[in-house]
Amino acid sequence: MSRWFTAASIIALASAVALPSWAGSPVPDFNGVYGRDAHNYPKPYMTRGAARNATITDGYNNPILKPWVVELLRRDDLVEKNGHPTITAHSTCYPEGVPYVFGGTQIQILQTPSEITTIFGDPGQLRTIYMNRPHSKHVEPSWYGESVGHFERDTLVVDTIGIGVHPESGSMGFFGTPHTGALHLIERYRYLRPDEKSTAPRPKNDSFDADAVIKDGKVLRLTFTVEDPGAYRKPWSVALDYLPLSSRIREYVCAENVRDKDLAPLLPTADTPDF
Amino acid sequence: MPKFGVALAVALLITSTAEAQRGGGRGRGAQEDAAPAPSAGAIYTAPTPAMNVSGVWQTESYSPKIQLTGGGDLPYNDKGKAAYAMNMAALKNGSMRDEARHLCVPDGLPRMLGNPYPFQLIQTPGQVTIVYELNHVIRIIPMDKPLPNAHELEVAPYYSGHSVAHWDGDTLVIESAGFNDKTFLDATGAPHSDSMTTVERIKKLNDTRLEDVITVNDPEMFTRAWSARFVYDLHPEIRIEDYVCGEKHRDISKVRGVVVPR
Repeated sequence: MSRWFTAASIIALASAVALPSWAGSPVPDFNGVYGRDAHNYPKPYMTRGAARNATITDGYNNPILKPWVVELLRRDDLVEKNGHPTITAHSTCYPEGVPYVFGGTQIQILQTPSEITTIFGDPGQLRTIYMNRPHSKHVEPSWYGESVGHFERDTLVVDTIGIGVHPESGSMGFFGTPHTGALHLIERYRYLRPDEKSTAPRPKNDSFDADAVIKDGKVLRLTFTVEDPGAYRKPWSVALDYLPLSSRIREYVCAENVRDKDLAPLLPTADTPDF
Repeated sequence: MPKFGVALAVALLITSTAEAQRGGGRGRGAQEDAAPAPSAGAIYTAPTPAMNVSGVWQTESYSPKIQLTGGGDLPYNDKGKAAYAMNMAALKNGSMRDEARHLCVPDGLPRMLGNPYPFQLIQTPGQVTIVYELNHVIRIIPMDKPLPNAHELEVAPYYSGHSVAHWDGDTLVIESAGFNDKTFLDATGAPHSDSMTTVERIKKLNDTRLEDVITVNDPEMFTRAWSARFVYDLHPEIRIEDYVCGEKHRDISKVRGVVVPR
């Protein structure tokens, strides 16, 4: 009787430890190169979707935008309309940071049990996601912030804080995501299920070779959510679908590609070398 | 039956606790710093500890002038000597700039191998990736694949070259070709041609030390092939940081040979 009682209490104790049902199940393998043949991505306050010349003109009144964000976007819109190049992190070779960098076209995921590294092909940049551990107690702001991740069933969940505020890089404006130091970004990556339809743009041989798309390969869906009460009155999310590619990420050296004489002086340079 | 019940309950409890420790939590990150979740079959596992070269590595000494295996000077031929003399003069009088330090374009090989900042080796199925913190250079190195053909190497030369790798026992052998000729071999401005090819032999000396012996072949500039050796220590405590030209970066003053300009 007493033994049975012990067993019953252990069972009760075990079930009291609340665990997600998927805990311990094998994680999906996301290793690979993925492409999305489109520049920029649609934001809730953009009226013409993902096109390069997307405009937010009609979106100024979007109630989620804080007034300072509207001002910033209005300024960039004006610059663009007057035929001047908009200063962006991409055009001036600064680290793009997340979520700005998702406006690029290729991502390679390097997955190991303890870390997942994402290489962003067209700025030639990367960031590391530290798996199954909490954020540092004191996160120093950096360009890409601090990312930690874990799996939930078939989904990689990445949580990023400490994304620096760098207006000088252009990451805040029209093509960027205006934000404060409180920006909290949540990314969720998973493969589309068989009954889901891909929304990946059809490859146009623009950013990568359309022949490199792996036929019948799994489409990767990234859904990210931007939370920043200092810039947006409520969180907003974007879903981007990426096609699996057989090609490799190429070397990308931003500084040698800047031909625009107006932008060239804005590139980060070192007057004094580090060593 | 009661005995079986106890055993089952204990087993359940152990499993549950183990799962909880894996940190498969919800929300902002996982709150336990625990063993990784079980991996799908395709996640890379090194066949032997010696073949696990993953990690953050950093040299403990730096030399602005490349140190050849066996000593001596770079064995330049006449063309190479003239090009080297020209580079040194131009760097001195300011008509040429060391763009790797001022515009932060990649150092190229072998200069990159001797830089005092940490780098990370990442092994995944079919690929080795090397990420250098300095100038945030990324080398994507497919395993057991041939180098791109001569035409592709010529039309799309890279600062870091195109590379492929294979294992020779416990040594990771990286072959590279298809370099541009914009980089120096070291900080003195030593030149190479765009027909340079290199072979790196990367080997663990023990659990926490790694060597990379690079052999450089460039008959256009040199009378013979030559080698240089770089040794690194494992630094699990270091996370590779963002790197922006002209910003303040990590303190590298403790790396022997580094002179930080004021």
